[in-house]
Amino acid sequence: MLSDFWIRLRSLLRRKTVEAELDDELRFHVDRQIAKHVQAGMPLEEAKRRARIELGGVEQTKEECRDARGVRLVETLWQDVRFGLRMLRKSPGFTVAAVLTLALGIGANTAIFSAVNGILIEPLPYSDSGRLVQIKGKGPRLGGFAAGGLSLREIRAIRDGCPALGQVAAYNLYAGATVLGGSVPDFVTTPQVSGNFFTMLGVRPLLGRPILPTDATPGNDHVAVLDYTMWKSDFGGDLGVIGKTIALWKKPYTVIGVMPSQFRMGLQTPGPRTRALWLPLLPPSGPSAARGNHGYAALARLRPGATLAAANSQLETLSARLAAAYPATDKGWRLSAETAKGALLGRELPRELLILLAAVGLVLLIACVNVSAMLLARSWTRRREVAIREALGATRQRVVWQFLVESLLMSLSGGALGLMLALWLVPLLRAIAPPHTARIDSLRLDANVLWFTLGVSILTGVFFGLAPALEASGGRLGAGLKEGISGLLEGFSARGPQRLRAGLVILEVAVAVVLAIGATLVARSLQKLLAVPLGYRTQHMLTVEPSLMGSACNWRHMELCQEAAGEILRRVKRIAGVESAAMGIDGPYYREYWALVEVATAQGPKDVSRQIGYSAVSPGYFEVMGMPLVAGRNFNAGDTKNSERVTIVSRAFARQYLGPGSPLGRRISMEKDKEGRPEWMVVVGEVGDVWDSAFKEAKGQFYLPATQSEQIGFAPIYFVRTGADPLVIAGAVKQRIWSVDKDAPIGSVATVAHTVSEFRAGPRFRTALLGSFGFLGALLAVVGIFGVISYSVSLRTREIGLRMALGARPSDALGMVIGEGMALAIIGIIIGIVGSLALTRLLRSFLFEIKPNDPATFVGVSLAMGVAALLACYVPARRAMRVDPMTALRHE
Amino acid sequence: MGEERIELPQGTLDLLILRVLALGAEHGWGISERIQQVSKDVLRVQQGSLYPALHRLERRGWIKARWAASENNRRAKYYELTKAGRKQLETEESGWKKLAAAVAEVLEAT
Repeated sequence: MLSDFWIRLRSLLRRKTVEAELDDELRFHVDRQIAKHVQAGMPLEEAKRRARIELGGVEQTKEECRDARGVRLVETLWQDVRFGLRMLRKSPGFTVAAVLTLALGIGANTAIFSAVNGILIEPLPYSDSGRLVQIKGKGPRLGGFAAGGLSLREIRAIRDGCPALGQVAAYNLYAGATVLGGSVPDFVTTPQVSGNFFTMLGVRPLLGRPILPTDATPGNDHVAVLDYTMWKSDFGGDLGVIGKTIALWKKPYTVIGVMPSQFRMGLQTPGPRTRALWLPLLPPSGPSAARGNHGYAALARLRPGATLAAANSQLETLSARLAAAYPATDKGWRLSAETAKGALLGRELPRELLILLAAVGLVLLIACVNVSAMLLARSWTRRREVAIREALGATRQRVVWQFLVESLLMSLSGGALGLMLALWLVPLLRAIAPPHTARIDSLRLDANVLWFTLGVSILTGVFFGLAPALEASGGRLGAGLKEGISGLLEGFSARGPQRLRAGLVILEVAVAVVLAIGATLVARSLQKLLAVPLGYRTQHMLTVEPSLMGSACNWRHMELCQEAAGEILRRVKRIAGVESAAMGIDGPYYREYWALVEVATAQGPKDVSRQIGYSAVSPGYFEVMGMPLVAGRNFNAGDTKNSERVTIVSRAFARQYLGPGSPLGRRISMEKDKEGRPEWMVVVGEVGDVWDSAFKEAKGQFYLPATQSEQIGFAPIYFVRTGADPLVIAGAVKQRIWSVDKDAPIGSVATVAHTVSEFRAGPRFRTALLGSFGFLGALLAVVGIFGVISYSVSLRTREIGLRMALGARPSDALGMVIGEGMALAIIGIIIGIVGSLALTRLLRSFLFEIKPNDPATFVGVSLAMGVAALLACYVPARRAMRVDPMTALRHE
Repeated sequence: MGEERIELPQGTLDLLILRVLALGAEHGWGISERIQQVSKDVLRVQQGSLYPALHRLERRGWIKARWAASENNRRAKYYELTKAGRKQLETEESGWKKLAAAVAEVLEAT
């Protein structure tokens, strides 16, 4: 009830006022009563006495009123808080250590949770997004690959033949346009969306209006909705942008709307950096209507009451029907639906985030255990205080509450500090996350995250505070007061809490071992990844990817593209600082071109039934890339359209598909002529293997001479090798491109080193995070061992002194202390190993060339943990060794 | 002051306070006087339990308090019924009436 809350709050915050009011109220009553008695003829003194008796004890009444106002609990709490703060101030070293430990743990948890929340938990920012599904089409597997996508005809069939789905909106996947009129020609992604796309998602534009069904009709379709990045960069965030025109493919488009920055739907790269605009998608006609054109995607909304399973079974039926009706294009294609969020996130990302959350949770667990062990030690030293309080009538509940308030104070301070740490960690996380991580821009400290932090702080406080609180109030009334007598027995009677502390140390060592093993596995996997010989040069290499569709060439005149591409290469080579340059249709790290290959054998053509990657390259390519020619010759100027078709294969290709013996002179084919006969190419050379971005293996591939193939069309990639920093000459390379095609947009300018490092961003990110969690966990565990063993030594000083007086040598004391600590550490390590064997399997998909149960890692981490534990025991053990029996016994 | 007085049964004080306040805002002393008067001095409010009851009712949101000048021009704390209090009064009143009727019936039957 609200009034309840306000009254309690007011009673608490404005105590003086409330008390004064209570005084006034009661005094008024007494005065009226006196007046009444006097009126009835009573003498004043008698009336006063009478009135007071009638009211009863004023103080008691007040106390009852306070109770009635519900302040009691709060006031007790306030007392406990003040007392707790005083206690914490009394031992600042301990408090600071505990709060910092907790802040580290809670801060890291908050940061990781902000990622889990922003990426996994928050619904997509569309109306009723839980019912939004992505429809996928998957083609038949052909040579190890399955094509994907939907045709517009399929989308229409889904709209008509899938009752579980209400609306269906289509958009195309691979669309881009050249924007002219800016300072340089530029390239933007231009997803074309059906007229119901925006209204189905229920998103509101920042400015203007979205694309509507009326726009998606021929003649009305020259309108564009800008994305936020494009609006900022190309129009300087102009509020009057609506109605302005923008030139795409040299045609004017009217800007009708601007979308807010979070809206990225329909874009291939979910990152916020690419500029984009949405255009209307016209009804299918011409090539876009072809059943074989699977270049589209569809979003749909489940009807109320319909389930995803129902939609999927309807899609299944539909696939079968389409395959039967149009076997030539639709056979083997399967339609399916998945939640829009699931489709956006994929499988790996949620897994990875949950693993990180679990790992960082374990760090917090260790931190808690540490603080708990410290508190247990303190609760033993505070037993005298507790005994006095209990003797004075404090109930056990009250004492437990008092201790819990203290630990909650610590955990809440830790939480507040952790939140500040998270303020700094969250942007860091965003910055080091691999590029193109879905929804990475939605990481923030929002209400959910704040509740999480508060909840974690409270849970943490209760978790680490409960055992010490129960321990401290252990009901040993009088035991603390008898300290003087039982001094000698202390070492033994302290065994109870000591056993609990031992359990805590074992727990934290075990958890730290699990964390450290996980982190080491991931780190070694990264190390192996970095050690892979890529097979090509990465340093001093620049890649530039223009699109020559500007004015140099077009679809109908591909030979012009070819010429322009060659001319640019010649000009680039002449730039001062360029050592050599080449071009190709693919870099060594991407595989965008694949073909089904046949190999000529003595028995006739043999299908290798595998999609094989290939690239068309200019003659100097292998030299520029630093790929060794193993046998045969390079491409040269003699390889022309009129000469024999030639190819160069990679070593892995030769081994896998051409068998033993020299590949030179063998023939392979990737195309058939009009009569269906293979068009043979003669293998004239063999080059070294390169690893692509997937890093799974060096796959076989082959190369065509750019001079013989028409593949180098409007999108050549230039590979420029320089003496110094490659980015220095980037400007000059662009100028040469524009000197040939002034309207060519340049999509990407990057160093090879940078591109390659981006491929490894994922593993690096994982290693950085898990590594720091593992390190932090191990460090905290070692500190924990140190603390507990030190404390145990200080408790047992007298016992040790007594033993020494009875003839034990210092080395015995050393051995005893180290033995005690190491026993705990070893049990912890063994439990940790068992736990790791069970848990590291979850990491399997993130590991490269290392098994989740890699023995070297397990042994190494265990040994390291053991040595660290030994060191942590050694320092207090030395102190035990130096115990002087006389001083120790006189200590009494 | 009549001779025959009845101690208030548990829980009836709240009902009486609400009933009195249903007639209009009143301060603590006034409430106790009013109960006494209306019951023709049969019911006597223990003044020590009146104020805790008022504060409890206020916390529950059934009555609210404000400071105002009293009939003798002093600052007094006046209580009045809230909407929730009015509802509470209705339920308690009908409950009480049912109870009283039932008790009466049982007594008459025997």
